[in-house]
Amino acid sequence: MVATVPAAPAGAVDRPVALLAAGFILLLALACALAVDGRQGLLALVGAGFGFALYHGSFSFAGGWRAAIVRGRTGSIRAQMLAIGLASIAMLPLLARGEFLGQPLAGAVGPLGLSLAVGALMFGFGMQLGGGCASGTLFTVGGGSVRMLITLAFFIAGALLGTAHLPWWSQQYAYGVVLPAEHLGVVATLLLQLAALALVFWLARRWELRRTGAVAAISRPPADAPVLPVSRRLWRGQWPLAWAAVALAVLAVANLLLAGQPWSVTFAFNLWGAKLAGLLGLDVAGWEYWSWSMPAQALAGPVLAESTSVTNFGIVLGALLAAGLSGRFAPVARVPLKSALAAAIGGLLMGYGARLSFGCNVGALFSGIASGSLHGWAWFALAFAGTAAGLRARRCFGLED
Amino acid sequence: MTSSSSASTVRIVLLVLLLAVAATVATDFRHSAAAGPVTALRNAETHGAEEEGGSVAPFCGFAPCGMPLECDPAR
Repeated sequence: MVATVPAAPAGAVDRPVALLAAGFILLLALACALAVDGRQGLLALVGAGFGFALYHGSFSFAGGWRAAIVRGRTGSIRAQMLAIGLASIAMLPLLARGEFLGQPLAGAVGPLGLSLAVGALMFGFGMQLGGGCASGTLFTVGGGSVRMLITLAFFIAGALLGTAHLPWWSQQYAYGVVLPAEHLGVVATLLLQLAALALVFWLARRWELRRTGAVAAISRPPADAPVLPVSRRLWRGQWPLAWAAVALAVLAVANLLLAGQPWSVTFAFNLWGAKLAGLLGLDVAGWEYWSWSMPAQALAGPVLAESTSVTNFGIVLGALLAAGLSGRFAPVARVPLKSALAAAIGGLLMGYGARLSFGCNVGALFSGIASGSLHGWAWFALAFAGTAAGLRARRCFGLED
Repeated sequence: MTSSSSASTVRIVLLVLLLAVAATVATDFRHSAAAGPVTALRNAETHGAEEEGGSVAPFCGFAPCGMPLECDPAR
């Protein structure tokens, strides 16, 4: 099981689910707008857009990497490179400018070092057991996957555990943050980055051609998708991967402009874990990580004031809306024990790994690369290696290839 | 239990879970709002080199995980 939507043909619109999701999206946006500010309300809608696009495009990092290694299908990886490239074109110049309409902008940057290496390997391994990456976990939960609720619960626990150890890991060997734009300039860095993304795209395409004898175009809907006019496919789903890539790039730029920071997912998980731990009587405020400025402020304030929490809620609700509109919201309660165990271990590894590696497939890979930080590329290579090992471990839990 | 009634049960459980999360978020907000005005926590605040935080000091901004980043001495 991976973070993909059910492959069955779409049925009739599931009105109760679609109406419930739409209602909650409006409620979230209104609550953020009235209780925090208008930008936070818009950010909630951006989050819902992420969930909608991820679900309708079945845009999966974990499943996409697995399909590339096991079956030679590289459409997801090519779509990821397209999305990151498009986001880079807007984000690198914006970040070099440093502000937009008075809002300071900061990139998703992280240091190269031991913490990044260990964390990215753990994350890549864990996401094959968990069945989804960070964004995948959220959008499949919204799509009705009960198994992914287990992954999410342990993801949160792992992220909280990671905050207990991150200060120690941050004192181990680190080369520091490397931002090529500071040495080469924005234009040269952007061109270099687009060339690197194009190279990965081309290598993936070649790999697919060699393994399968043909290359599936990412501009076309999945082969098993019903024939629909564009206007209907937009809300009914089973988008071509390229549509989802464009949508995610546009939304990522909107996220940067509204929040002042790039799209990120897992900071919210440690925050939710810390708040839940507080309810259970475990006070984490004394931990070193939670004494750092930003985490301390996040812990003291409401989750609705924290950007990644708002977009995460939006992702779940946006995916729920997409599942309702496509008629594919079909939760299954039965989760085999071995599969549940794999979900728990995968979630823990992803949570802990994300904390050590300064983000996940979104915060480190997507936003890290789009911010022009070299740690994003290092994360990509290391998490991919971890995924290759994780694929072998899947067999121990009876998970399909 | 038939598969359709099982599916209905799961849908109800998920609905209850959704409502529970909404109620928890609302309670969290009420609790924080009681302590003072709520403002959005937005990143991108560059901290001065004289400021010290956690185990990494001085620092300039934050990685998405909330970890303070060391300032580039060349800047």
